[in-house]
Amino acid sequence: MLNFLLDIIFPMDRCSLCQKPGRYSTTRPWCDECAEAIRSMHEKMHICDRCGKVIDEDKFLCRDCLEKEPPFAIARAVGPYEDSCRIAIKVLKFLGKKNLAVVMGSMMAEVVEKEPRFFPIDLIIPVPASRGHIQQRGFNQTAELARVIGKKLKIKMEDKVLIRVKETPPQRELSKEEREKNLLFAFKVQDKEKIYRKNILLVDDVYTTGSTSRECTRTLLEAGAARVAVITWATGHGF
Amino acid sequence: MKDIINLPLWVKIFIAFALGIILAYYELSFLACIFTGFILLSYLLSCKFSHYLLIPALILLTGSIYFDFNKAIFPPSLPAEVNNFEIKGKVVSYPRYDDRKCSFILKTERKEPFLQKMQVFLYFPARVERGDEIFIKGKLVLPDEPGNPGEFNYAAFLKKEKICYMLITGEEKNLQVVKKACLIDFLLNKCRQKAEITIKNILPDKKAGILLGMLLGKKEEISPEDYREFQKSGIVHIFAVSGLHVGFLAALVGFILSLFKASPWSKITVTCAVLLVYGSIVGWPVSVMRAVIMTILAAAAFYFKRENGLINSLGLAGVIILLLDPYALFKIGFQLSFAATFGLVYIYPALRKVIKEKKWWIDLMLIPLCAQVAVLPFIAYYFYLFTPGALITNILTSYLAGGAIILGFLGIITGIVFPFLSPVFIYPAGFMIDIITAVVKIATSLPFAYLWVKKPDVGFIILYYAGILLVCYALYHKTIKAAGTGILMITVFLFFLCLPPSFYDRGYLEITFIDVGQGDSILIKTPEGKFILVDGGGNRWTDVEERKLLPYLHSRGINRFYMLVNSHPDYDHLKGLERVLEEHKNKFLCIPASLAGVSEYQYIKSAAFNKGSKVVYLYAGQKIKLSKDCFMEVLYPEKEYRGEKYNDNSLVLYMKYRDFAVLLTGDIEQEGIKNLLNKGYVKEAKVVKVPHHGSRGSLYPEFYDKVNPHLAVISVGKNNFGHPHPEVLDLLGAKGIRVLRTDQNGAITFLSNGSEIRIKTFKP
Repeated sequence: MLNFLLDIIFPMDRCSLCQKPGRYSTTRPWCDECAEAIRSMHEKMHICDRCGKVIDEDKFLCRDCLEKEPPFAIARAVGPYEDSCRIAIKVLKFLGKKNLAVVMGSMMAEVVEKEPRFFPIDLIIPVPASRGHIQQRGFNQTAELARVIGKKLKIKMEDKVLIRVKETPPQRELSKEEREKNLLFAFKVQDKEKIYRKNILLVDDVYTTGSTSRECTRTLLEAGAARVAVITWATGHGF
Repeated sequence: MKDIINLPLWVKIFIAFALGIILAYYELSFLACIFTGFILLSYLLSCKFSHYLLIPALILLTGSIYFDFNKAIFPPSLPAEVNNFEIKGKVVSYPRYDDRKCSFILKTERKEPFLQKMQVFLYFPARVERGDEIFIKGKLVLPDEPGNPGEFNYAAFLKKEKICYMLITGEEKNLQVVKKACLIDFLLNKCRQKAEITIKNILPDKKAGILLGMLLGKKEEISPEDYREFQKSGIVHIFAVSGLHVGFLAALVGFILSLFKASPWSKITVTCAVLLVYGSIVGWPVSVMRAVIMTILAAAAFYFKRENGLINSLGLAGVIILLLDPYALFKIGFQLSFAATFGLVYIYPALRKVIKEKKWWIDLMLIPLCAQVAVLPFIAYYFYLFTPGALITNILTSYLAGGAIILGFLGIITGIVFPFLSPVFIYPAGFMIDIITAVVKIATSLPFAYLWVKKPDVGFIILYYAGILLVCYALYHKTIKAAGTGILMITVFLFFLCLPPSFYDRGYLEITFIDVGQGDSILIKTPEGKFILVDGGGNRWTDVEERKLLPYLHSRGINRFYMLVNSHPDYDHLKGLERVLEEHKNKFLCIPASLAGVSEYQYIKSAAFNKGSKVVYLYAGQKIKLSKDCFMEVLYPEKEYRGEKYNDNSLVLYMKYRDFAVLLTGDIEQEGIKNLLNKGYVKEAKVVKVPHHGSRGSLYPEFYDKVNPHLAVISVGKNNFGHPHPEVLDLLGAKGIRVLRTDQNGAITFLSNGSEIRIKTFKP
């Protein structure tokens, strides 16, 4: 309702991804070509059966998953972290176009719905953003996505349970080893009662090496969660 | 075409809605209906173009219907005056105190549309405040229709406020306050008064007036002369409490809040609340409404993480204001405010596409330039001014004004909490105002700083804006061809705007009897385009020269006179001439030789000396050649002073151009006419000015036999002398002379090429 009103007051007259002029809205933030591009990227990508990373056609699991089984049950993404999918997450995150989360969240929800291995889900939890990020942009994009997914799947969303206790430099600037070290004990579960023996859907924006998802999952499982599945908007390449 | 489709949504809605309102305003709503019907039909027949036009057409129709519903319809034949009219109502505007009177708008409880709102004038120091409910008894008067082209149309102005009548009373017992203002109104009034007192206690009157004008939009304490100086230098907008103020206030509040480390949400709410209070304190002029709406939209966009297109929010602000008051579209404030903002949000970014350097001084020059370029036609249309100097003065003053405004706000805010601190801010503000006035003084004295121009036609204004849009389009899309066409269109507009008035009607002698109320003022244009003004009107009670004479001369675009002639030094002939001499360049000042030494002439003679115009003494027998075939002859009086009265020493002037002659008689009375006839000075003339506003004392039937005119002009207004006297009118009627009167016909113009005469009267 609020978004509908805001669409009227501040009409979107450019495609959020390719800047093509036209009439857009919260429910249709990008042009048909961009939507088609995202859809075909989703359909074409061949992924690791466990962590959802993009891998070569002839493989079933990626090298990481073969070497060490990830703590989460399953991870999936809407598309690879490139082209339109990459721009979409950047526009949401860095340009602060909060209303993109509406469409992106529901697309993520569709991915979850199609994959039976995600279920059962009792609770949706977003990966917490650092305080600096929230102060800078005024909102946490993963929480926005999680809220939409929660609404779509009619499952409760809790964005205050899992919190960040250590302010870490952004993951994207680090190598794989550094990422894992960087995140060690960065998260904490505030209210263990709420997740005890619960099946949790963890929401994040990008799955690159999976360090963030792994660390969050580890923290949640240690705190008593029964099972964790991960959904992200975009995913990286694996081997 | 593609660019029109790609305009921001609210701009499109605004354009369609405004077009609908314009159609309805000129009573062409049926066109909107026909157009929409046509589009609807073609949509049903699924024509391709109707697809784009259906919604715009529906919005256009909505605009027309909305305006028709909100229209003020007054019955055509209302009594011009109603005495002892009693009414109860609420004061809805901040009362304005001039030196003698207090004026405000009263909203009554009556059902009749022409009595729902009225403009009240009280000729005593009344203690009324906005929001008070009062009971008032007085005289209902219809506002005067203008008598001259270029004159401010007060009746039309009031009609746009849905006001039909003025209510006037001079006795204090006729006003009773029934109920005091409610708490909110009371607090707003208190804020306003507090601000006034704080500033007036600290600064001298003149500066306090200017600062109050800037902060609260109170113009009554700025003298008309100062105001005109500001107008000429093109910075009068600093008094029309504008977006500039709201922007500075928002910035100030934001800065103070960030000192307290406020969160974004509280910053936004507090700033918006402050702006709303400020808007109420200044009484919501359109410019403030626009600026507040745009600021709130920007804040909302920031909070909700939406993209805030400035052009889009300008359009939305326009639609909101038009919904609140559909008449706003036709008010000067709306047009100036939106034009200036359009310049800032559209022309400025376009120029920025070409001038890419990011230097502070470029912005300093470009921003005022864009605003000036955007409002130029409106300034010419309403104020008859073209102010190239405004570009320089604005660069120098708009930031100073901004500083003075911020300091003034700080002074007032601290004045409420810590009164002893406010001088710290107000004195520097006063200093800045000193600099601004000095800049204005210097700027207006520069050559080409300003030029009075003929009121431009609406068609030319449209041409100008089309040119501006084309140039902007060219800058955005980098196309040379469009830029060339655009620049050509702008040049055509500027060329016709700056064309001197002597260019029009060449080869024609023009004589215009200007309506100056009770008094004389006659403008003569020689066939070669020299301007002569004989007398200038004048009234001790109303500012007739500021209201009627100067606006007429300005609207003609007259910048320099060849001669100013005074027939005799009575107030209703001399006063306006003094003002014209102060305002305009002039070559010769002519006064009757027989009255050369009288004290009334002291001021105008010294003014002439200071302005560099030569004083010429006229006496009978002189003949002034003005151009080929055109001369002015002085018939009367002789060099020596004769007779008791000034009137009988009035100059009698005889203008002749080939076969066409006009006799101007001043205020000459029987004694003088007798002299004139005895000496045999009188000559035949086609047009005669009836002496002394048609008084009985100037009636001398043989005079008309001798002159044998076809037309007689009586220059007269409301008066207590019984001018024009019925006997005079009867005599002129009996002689078959057609009579034209400035009080009934407004300005009367005779144009002659030497053989034919064309007559134009302002009122039919």
